[in-house]
Amino acid sequence: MNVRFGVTFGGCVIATLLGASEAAAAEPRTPFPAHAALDAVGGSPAKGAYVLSAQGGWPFSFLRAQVGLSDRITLQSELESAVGRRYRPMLGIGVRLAEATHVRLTGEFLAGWLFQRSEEYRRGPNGELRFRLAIPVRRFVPYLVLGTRHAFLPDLLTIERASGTETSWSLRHEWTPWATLGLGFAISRGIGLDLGINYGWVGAPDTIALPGVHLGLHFGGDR
Amino acid sequence: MSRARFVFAGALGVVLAGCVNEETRLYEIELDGKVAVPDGAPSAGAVHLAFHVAKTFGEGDLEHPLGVFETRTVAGVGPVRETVLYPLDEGEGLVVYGWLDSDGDGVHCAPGQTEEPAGLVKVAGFPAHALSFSLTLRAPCVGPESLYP
Repeated sequence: MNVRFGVTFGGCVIATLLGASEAAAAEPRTPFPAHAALDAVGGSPAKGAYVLSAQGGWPFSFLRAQVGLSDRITLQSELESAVGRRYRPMLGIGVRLAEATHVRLTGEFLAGWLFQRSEEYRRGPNGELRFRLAIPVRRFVPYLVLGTRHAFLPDLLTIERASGTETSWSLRHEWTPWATLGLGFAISRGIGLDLGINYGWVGAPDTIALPGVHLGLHFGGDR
Repeated sequence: MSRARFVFAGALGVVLAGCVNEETRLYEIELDGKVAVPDGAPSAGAVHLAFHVAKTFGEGDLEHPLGVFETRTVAGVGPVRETVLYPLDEGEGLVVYGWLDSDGDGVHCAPGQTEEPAGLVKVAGFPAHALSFSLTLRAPCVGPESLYP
């Protein structure tokens, strides 16, 4: 099973690289002014442009859609999964904070809900503030994401007294600092890849976290 | 209630029910008891009480007797009146364990101190909001696991 997966994966990588080299040979050496890989990993596609991303890995995987509402403002939706047990559907906006030939800085704010089914249930409203720094160099886009996530987990306490039953709610806070370091690659203006290392410290500082990795495929258009 | 309000209330209920992480159910019990030592035995010192569920819920081999949920310290032997919150989802039955801190060090027995008496009683009538018990401390240096079941 693993061998078959490895052969298939290797074939995909080779085909991708061959396709990329053919594309590189066919296109002029001038870098793309904007491409799906940059919009995906750097955030904030231009007005009318969109990018769809699928990033699979361990322990985190992502589906993300971004649409440029203006040249600075982006609407985005994201679904994150951690090993199929923890899901985070989110909706938010991205703001292009800085743009230069070789730099793009984006701030993003997302809000949504957290669902976790495991030994410990975790459910509640969830928000994230993060910044994306991308440095496009021709087809390559090294990028860094730094974020802070906050989930609020409601607990219910019921006390049965002789005089009656009292019910009260309380909120626990779950903090997840986040960092991703990765490299995007533009196969063409509309198709890109990225490979990244994620460090999501769920429940910091009371827990420990292991780094993870993801491989992403991105499609974009209308720019 | 209008139909719109009914739908809103229903939706709110579903959302709230769907976001509970931990639900803790406690049962308040007023315990009226008496702690004593056998006639003639030393009785000076504070008494440390531990309130246990008689049987802790678990699956298979994880099910076991006893499970402390509250502890108290009272001034000495004699009448005791305590209010405890019993965790309904952790077990069943109520057990009170106590020991006499003869030397006042807060530690139940130690090298050189082997005479601190302990005792245990299973409270009859549980569950009820008002219960009574009588606890006699007669077994020196014994933990609750040796006294129950």
